[in-house]
Amino acid sequence: MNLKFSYRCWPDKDGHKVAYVQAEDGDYLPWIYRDMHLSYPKFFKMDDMTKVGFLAVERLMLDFEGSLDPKTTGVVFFSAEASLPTDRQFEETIKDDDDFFPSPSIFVYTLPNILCGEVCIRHGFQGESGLYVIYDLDKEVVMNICRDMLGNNSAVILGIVDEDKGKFWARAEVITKDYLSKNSENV
Amino acid sequence: MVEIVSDNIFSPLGTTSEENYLNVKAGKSGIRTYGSMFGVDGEISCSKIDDALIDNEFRLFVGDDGGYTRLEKMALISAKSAIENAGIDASQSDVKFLLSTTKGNVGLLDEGVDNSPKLYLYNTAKLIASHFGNKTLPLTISNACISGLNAIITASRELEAGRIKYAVVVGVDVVSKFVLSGFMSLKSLSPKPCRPFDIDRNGLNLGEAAATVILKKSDGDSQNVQFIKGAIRNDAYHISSPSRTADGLTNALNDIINDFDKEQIAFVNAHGTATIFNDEMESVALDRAGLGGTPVNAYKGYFGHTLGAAGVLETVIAKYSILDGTILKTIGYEQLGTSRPLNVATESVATDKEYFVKLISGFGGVNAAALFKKGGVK
Repeated sequence: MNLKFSYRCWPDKDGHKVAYVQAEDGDYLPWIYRDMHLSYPKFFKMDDMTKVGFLAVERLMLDFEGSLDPKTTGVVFFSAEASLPTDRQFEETIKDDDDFFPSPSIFVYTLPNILCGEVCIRHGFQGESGLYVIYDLDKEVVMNICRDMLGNNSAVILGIVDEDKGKFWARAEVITKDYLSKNSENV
Repeated sequence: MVEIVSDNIFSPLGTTSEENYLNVKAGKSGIRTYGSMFGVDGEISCSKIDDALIDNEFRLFVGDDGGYTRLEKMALISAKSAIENAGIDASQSDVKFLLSTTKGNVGLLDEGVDNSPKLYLYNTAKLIASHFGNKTLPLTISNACISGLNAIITASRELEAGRIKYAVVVGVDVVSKFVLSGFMSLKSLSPKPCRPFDIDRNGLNLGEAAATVILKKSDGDSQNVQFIKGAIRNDAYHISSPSRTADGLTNALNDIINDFDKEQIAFVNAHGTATIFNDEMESVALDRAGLGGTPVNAYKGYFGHTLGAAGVLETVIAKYSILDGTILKTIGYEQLGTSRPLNVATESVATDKEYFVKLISGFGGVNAAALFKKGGVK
C-alpha cells in the first residue's frame, strides 16, 4: 500500500513508544494535522520541515501529555538536510534585484532549530533545546547527546527529521535516564 | 571541568586571537558603513573580511585553494592555527570536530548553485575534519545565535564523559546576500554601527569571522582558562522575539551561578546585539539573577554579530581579557537604555577577579550561559 501520508505511535518490543510521521509531499502534512484533529493555527505558518517534526511530537505527546515536567524537559532534533528546502524557497524571494522582497516569515524557518522552538512553545518545554546536523545517524552519538542533556533535564524529546526528493518524514520519542539505564546494552 | 588548550580568531581585526584582543583593547572596530551590498541599496554597516586577506592567508598557511568556498577557507585557516598552537595530532580518533554555524555555505544559493553537496552543513564539518585527516563523526550545531557556546557546552560534556581527549570547536559564518536580506526583512539591522544596551540602539550589524577553541578535560590545576559549567534553556515564548520575562536566560544563568559567590565574577560578557528586545531581555535576566551590579560588556561593536562564530569568538576575547586582568569597554554604548539597571562597562578597567560569565541568546527561544575561570589556582 502506497500511503500519501501516515502517522503512528507504536511501542517497540520493550514498550518504548516511538512516533513516526511521513508524507509523500509537504502538501499532505496539513492532512495529518486535520486527521489528528489538532487545533493550533500556528501550524499553517510553519515550513514543511518544521510541520513534519512538530506533528511527530504532537503524536508522541498524545501518549505522554501530563507525564513530563515541562520546565525541565529538553528537545533535541537531528537532521541531515536541516533547513535546505526552505533555504531554496527564501532564495526565490531575493534572487532578482528588480523583484527583491525577502520574506521574514520564510527567513525565520531557514534556522533549522526553529522546529525545537515551536515544540517548546506548544508544550511549554523550558529545558535545553538544540539541533544537530549529522550525515550518519550513529545511535551511540545520538544517545550520548541525550544522555548528556539528561544531566540537567528530567526528560528529552528526541526527534529526527528529514526530507528526500520532496518526501518528508520524522520520528520522535521520549528519552529518560530510566530508559537509558534499562537499555544500556542496545543504545 | 574542561580547559581551553588553544584558540584562534580570524576576523577583520586580525588573524590570531592575540592580534584580535589587542585591537579590541585599543578600541578598534571591524565595522564599516557601506552604501550598498550585494546589489541591495541603502546604508549597511557590517564587519567584513577582505577577500584578498582570506586568499593570502589560505595560500600561505593552508595550501592550494582548489575549490574551497570563502567560508571553508576561513574555517580551515582558523582551525589550523589553533591545532598547530595546541601541538595536537588532530587525525587521532579521540579528537572530535564540532562545527558551529547558522547558515554555512548558504551563499552558494545566491550564486545560483542550488544543488551542491557543499550546501549541506554536515559536509562543511566533514570537510574540515577530513582536512586534518580526522575520521571521527563530526557534529554540526545549528542552534541559531547560541550555536558557538552550545558547541563548547556539548564538547565539554563529551570530554567530561571521557569519550574523547580533545575537542576542536570551530565557529564560522559569513555575510551573504541571503543572510543580509533575511535580517533586513526582520528589520533587525542598524544602518550605523551598533550600540549595545544604549538608549539609542536600533539594531544589530552582521559580522564575519571564524573562531576556534581546542578543549580538553581539566584537573583544575592548569594555567589554561577553565570552562566550569554551562547551561542551555528555552523560553517557550516566541520563535523570533526574545522573552519579555527572560525565563530561558534567567534559568540558564541560575543553573550556572546558583551556588556561586557572585562577588567573584569579574564581568558578564553579554550577547548585546543592540536590538531593542535582545538587550532589554538580557537586562531582565541579569537583574532577576542578581547580577544587575556586576560589570557587563558586549563585543558586538567590535565584530558585529558573527552568528555561528559569535559564541566561540566572544569566549576567546573574554578569555584574553580575564588573563589580562581587564574588563573591556562596550563600544557604541553611552547611556543606559534598558528597563532594568545594568553596570555596562564604558571604559576598560582593571580587575583581579578570576571568573567571567558568557551569555548568548537566539531565535527559537534559545539561551545559553557559561561560567569560566582564569587558570592557575585550584
